[in-house]
Amino acid sequence: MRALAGRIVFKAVSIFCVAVWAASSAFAKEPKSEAEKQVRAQFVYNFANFVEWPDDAFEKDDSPIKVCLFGNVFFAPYLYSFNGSLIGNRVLNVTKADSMDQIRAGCHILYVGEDERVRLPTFWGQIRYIYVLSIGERTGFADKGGIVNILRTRDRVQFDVNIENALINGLFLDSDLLALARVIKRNTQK
Amino acid sequence: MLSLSRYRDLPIQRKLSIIVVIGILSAIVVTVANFISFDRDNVKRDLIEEMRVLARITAARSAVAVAFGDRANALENISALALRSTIQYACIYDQQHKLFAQYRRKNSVFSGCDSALLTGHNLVQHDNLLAVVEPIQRKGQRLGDVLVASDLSPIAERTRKWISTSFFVTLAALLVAYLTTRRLQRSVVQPIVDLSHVMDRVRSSNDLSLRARAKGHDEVGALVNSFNDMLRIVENHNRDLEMLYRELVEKSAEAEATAASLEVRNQHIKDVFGSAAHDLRQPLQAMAIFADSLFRKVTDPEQLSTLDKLKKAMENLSGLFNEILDASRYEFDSQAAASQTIGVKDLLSRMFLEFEALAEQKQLKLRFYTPDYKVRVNGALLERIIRNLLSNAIRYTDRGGVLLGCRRRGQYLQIEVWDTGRGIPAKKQADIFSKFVQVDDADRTERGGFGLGLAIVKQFVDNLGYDLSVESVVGRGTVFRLRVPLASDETHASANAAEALLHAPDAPVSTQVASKSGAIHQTRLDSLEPPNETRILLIDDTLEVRQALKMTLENWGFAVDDFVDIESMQAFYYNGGPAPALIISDFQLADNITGDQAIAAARRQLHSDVPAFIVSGAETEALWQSISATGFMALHKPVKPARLRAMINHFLR
Repeated sequence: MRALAGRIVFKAVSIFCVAVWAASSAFAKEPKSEAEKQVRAQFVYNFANFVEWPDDAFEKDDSPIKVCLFGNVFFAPYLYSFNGSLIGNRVLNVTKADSMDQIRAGCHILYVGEDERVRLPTFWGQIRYIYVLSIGERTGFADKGGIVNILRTRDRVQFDVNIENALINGLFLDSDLLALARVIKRNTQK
Repeated sequence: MLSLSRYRDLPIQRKLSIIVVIGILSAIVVTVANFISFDRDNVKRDLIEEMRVLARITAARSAVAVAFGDRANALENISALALRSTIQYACIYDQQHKLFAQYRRKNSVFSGCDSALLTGHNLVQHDNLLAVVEPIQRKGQRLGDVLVASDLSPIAERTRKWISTSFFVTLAALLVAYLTTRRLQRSVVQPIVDLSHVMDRVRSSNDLSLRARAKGHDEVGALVNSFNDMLRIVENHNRDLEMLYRELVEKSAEAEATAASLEVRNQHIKDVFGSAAHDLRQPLQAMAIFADSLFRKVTDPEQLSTLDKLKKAMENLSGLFNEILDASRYEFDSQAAASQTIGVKDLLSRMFLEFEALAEQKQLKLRFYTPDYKVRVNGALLERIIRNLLSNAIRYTDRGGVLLGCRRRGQYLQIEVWDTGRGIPAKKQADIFSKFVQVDDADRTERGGFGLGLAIVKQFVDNLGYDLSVESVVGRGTVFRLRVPLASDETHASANAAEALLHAPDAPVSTQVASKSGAIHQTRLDSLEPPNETRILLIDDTLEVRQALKMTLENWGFAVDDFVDIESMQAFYYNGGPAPALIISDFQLADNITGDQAIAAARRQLHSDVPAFIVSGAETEALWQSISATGFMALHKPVKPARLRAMINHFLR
């Protein structure tokens, strides 16, 4: 009797916990706060600051750094506010890139929106050329060809880095940036 | 002030040591202070530089953390600064200057980071803290700032270290300086010390032949040489002085010998002079007497006139003779005379007789006022002084009279001689006591005398310690005031001694002034009745004098029994010779018999105190004192007839 009762309580608690978790995760996914949008925009901007592109990646010394937004980027308005700001002697140029053609025209940073995750497996085959810092916001983005994955942990926004992908793309990541990364990955599984 | 005076008393070597020490100390202090200041600047600059480097490194490392807002990473970076012990706190500020991360050393006395970066400067220093601010930059973008603050303990510590090092270095330097300068100092000081020793030895031993040794050609060497030169000069002078002194001693001995021989000679001259004077007086006396008796016999007016001139010339001669003799004699031995107590009355009454006749001759009135005071004087000299004053007064007075008076002035008796003469001009009053000075040069011929009288008087007065003053109105007369000491008993019992005021000389000289004393007789030559058959006993061993005197006396109508000595006199009266009414005796008789002895012998023979007086040509003061000691009155040879007559009258009256 008592054992039965205990089993019922355990079940109830378990169900409650699952319910809470489901609720919270559903809650976290959907409404992104303005602060988080701001932080994410800041992150993207910061990567432009702390990643070194080889000279070949640009036509000229003062050619702009292109930031291409692929798919639905929920913090895009904040990112646009960085448009035109100087990084060294280069201007940050934030543009929307909805088609593959636009991306191929040349992007130094490519932010892949959440909605485009389904195209990813084929996506890398299409855009595989050097000098692009790909940033995503989906779990496993860095494991599957991406370089930086911005993600939200319990209390803050962090990022993972796949250094091997970065090197493949001919990019040099600042050691301090690496020190800040939550996880530094390699494609060991391949 | 005290330490300065103490420094002055230190030995020179110690002074030099102090100078060296002070010099070294000040040099070291200045150098060390300079060095420390320089070093502090350097250390500070290094510290700032170090802080700046650390801040830059931290800034570079923290750029990502600030950019991504990773406080944990920033704190990790900044905490690495703890390795540098002087860093007290460090801060990271974000782009908006808000505090992003901070590190603060445990137990630090400093408060730590401000919540916002306030300063715009990249270097802040206050109190004991130094803070540098470095920007966090990335590709030309300022992401924030790093502030690193350090205390200044490295600077203080370094200064402390330097000071302690300097202290020991200073000690070492002083020691080395002391050891190295010791010998050098001695080379400076030793010559001075040696010089000082030589000086001391010269002073203590009075040995001027000592010399100091010069050890170099510096100032001290020059000083030593100068000292030696000086010593040499002093030595030479000393030698010269010694020679001079010896010469002086020799000369002095010679002079003493000369003085002794001169003294002998002087005495000899005096003896000769004395006896010559005595001998000279005799013929003068005789001449006077002969002239007088001739005057009585001659009737021819022409001859009489000649004779009168002769008489005047002789009197003049006699006066001059006395004057010259007095002057010369009293220069010799006036000081030798001793004081004795004398009655003024006796002394003056004797003189009165002499001068009354003189005054009479010039138609002058002579008055004496002499209370019976005892004075402590040299009788003979006082008599000489008064005699001179009186004879002067009579000599220079042509009308009126002469008054002599005495009055007491405390312990002194003031003897005053007033005359109604022509007076002495004020400007001449100081000169009249000089030898050979007369108020009017014509006086020498008119009135006789060499002007020696007052000079002699002044000499006596000065020698005897009396006081003589003169007061005179030209045309009215003169008064001489002589002040002599009273005898001591007289100074006590004098209250009842009458003191009469003296009348001015030009006032009528009244008789009551002079006639008060019974001892004073006013005698006038022309009032004498010619004595009839009055016998006079005359004793004189000199034939001429005796004969001259006898002739004079006989001319005056006296009967004279004259003798050459006592024996013949005694024989005469023994054989019933008629008794005389008066005895006149010479003082110095043959065979050392004196006049008083002769008089005594005669009185014994006659059994009667026959009045007697002495006539003497004695030249020495001592002799005159012994004459006055006999108590008899005496006349000087050559005796002036008037005086002789007055004296005889005095006794026979």
